[in-house]
Amino acid sequence: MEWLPWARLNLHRNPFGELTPEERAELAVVDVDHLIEMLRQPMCAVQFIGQCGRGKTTRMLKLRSQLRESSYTYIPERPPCPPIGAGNPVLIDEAQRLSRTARHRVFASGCSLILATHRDLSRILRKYGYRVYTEHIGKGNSPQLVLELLNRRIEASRVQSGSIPQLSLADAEILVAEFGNDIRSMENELYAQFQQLLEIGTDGEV
Amino acid sequence: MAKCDLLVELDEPNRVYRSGDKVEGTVHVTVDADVKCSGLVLSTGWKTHGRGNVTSGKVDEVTVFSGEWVGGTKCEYRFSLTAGDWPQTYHGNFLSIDHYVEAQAKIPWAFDPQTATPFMVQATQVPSRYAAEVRVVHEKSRKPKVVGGVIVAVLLGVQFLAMGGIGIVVLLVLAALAFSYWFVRKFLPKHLLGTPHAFVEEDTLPPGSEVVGEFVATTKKTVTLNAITVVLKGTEVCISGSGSNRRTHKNVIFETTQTLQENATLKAGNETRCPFSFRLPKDAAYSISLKENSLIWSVDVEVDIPRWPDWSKNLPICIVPSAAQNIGTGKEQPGSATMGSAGQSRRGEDDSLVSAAQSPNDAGELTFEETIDQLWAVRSHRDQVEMVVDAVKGISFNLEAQIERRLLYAGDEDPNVYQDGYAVWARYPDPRLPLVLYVPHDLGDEFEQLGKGIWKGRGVVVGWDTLHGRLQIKLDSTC
Repeated sequence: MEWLPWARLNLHRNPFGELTPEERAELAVVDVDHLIEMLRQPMCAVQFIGQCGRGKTTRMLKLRSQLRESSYTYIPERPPCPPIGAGNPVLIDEAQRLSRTARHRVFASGCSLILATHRDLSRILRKYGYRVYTEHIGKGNSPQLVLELLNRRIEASRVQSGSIPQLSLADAEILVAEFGNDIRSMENELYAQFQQLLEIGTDGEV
Repeated sequence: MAKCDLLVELDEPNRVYRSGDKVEGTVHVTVDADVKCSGLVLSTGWKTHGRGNVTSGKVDEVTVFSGEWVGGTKCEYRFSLTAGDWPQTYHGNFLSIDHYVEAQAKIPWAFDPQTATPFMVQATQVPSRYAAEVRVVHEKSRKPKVVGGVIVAVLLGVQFLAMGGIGIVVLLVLAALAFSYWFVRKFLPKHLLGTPHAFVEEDTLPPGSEVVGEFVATTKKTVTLNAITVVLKGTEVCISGSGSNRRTHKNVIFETTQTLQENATLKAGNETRCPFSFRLPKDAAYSISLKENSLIWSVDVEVDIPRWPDWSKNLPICIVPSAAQNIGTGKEQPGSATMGSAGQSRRGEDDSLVSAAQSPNDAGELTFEETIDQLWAVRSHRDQVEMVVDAVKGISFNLEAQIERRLLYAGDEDPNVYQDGYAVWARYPDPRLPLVLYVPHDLGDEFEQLGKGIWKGRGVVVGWDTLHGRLQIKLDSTC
């Protein structure tokens, strides 16, 4: 496949381009087993709180891929609020944007809930009788974790066995120092760096 | 858990495939323990990668094996699949498109291993099913600005008027700003230049051809200009994320500027004509519109007026394979070889299906199954879907649907939901076209007991849910 520009780096694409939701779920470095266990109990609500680009949606996608009976709804910035399917559990991304009616219908259903939100919804969830478990997303994005998840993305773009570009712990530390726990910004930066890598013709030193 | 490795090996990995070509090769399967496989599926298709949200399409699919693999063995299966004819393989900075042969082993109750091997496709023509989309991307850059502006203005107007005195003040300020913008950016330059006009003679061209156009103006009084410039530009436009995370990424892949006149004087009453022509690069990338990934070409004409707002005009052009020139412009010659061969057969089916549904006489005898088949065939073409749905709207059908899930919330805006009733997402059994069923209260128990089974009954088609791609059906409990 000499014609494929990325083949020189033993890759088939820029590893830091957009992924499909399925790929994002597959490549996520998150532990959700304890949440799945927790959600077996009735009237349980899990909420992920954090800023953009920290991994809330990635967790939601990972959970969705592991919970076959679940339903997933993304609430857009502008109304109208989209239809929300019943599921076990019901996953709602950007839950702080739920309209009053939609929120009432969903919370009154008694379904187990997983919410990704910028605003703490625990008070209102408790009003409906939910036991609420809150995870603040982004705080655990250490250089080690960043290293693992970014290298995993590179690995997922591999063409065949052999060497591929890899990030070192020092690279991850530099990224964390520059972008804090904002994984999306790190990915954007690395996308540009990998494009440069392709243009200047080095063999994989990031 | 058993390990199952797949490897797709193409017979000609460096070959350039064209419309109708067969991609042939072997898929190798290695398993370390006994594995039951419900289907080893090989498919061809394309996928975008880069800055934009991933868009993909399937071309051909075949199941080469189903059964049991014995642990420690290696198996090989030959395949021959049709290569895609559009879009062409493209590797840019923000946007890349690759065609793949994908192998997926369906393993019951386990993760399905899969692998993909890319191959190169060169498009020789734009298949008819994509021609409209390719052109639309060039025109939509203008229309939505006007339509969107009017919608936003009406919505904001109503909202501010409802706020009373402060709202009216804010509204007046916004109206004044909008008027100032129009006055400065549109009215003043046009007023000075009389009736400026810029055009390209042919807006659908193959790479290597010449873009010919002209700027024409007749001024009411003598005007001195700094310059009249024309820019030919190709841009990758990719959209990533959605909602508040939505970002548009633009990358100019080609840009060349011509100065038509410098320090020129346009004399009052005289018609000034400034012709221009550009030679397109021989390897110019084709215009592409794949949902959130586009490649757009345009000619931008700009008149730089000293101490006065500049006049500019954007002229979109389409770069297509040479055989596809004039596609979608309404200028096709009868019998000309302009459409992709693989696309022709599909398009032929699509057209006949749409026309069948358009006739009210035929629609009266149309079954639900036929309606579903028609929608399934055109499901990725919004205008054709709407045409079919309009034709069958209001018709009552005997139908069957496999229940997916009940909706906790059907949307405030949905007028089809029965009072005390609810909405259910379902699919037609085969083909699995998504449906929304509006269930009346008295059918509630029946649906509750049905779980995810197949419901049979009568319902009326009421519309199409564009957002989720679902046919909307209002159920009738009296039948």
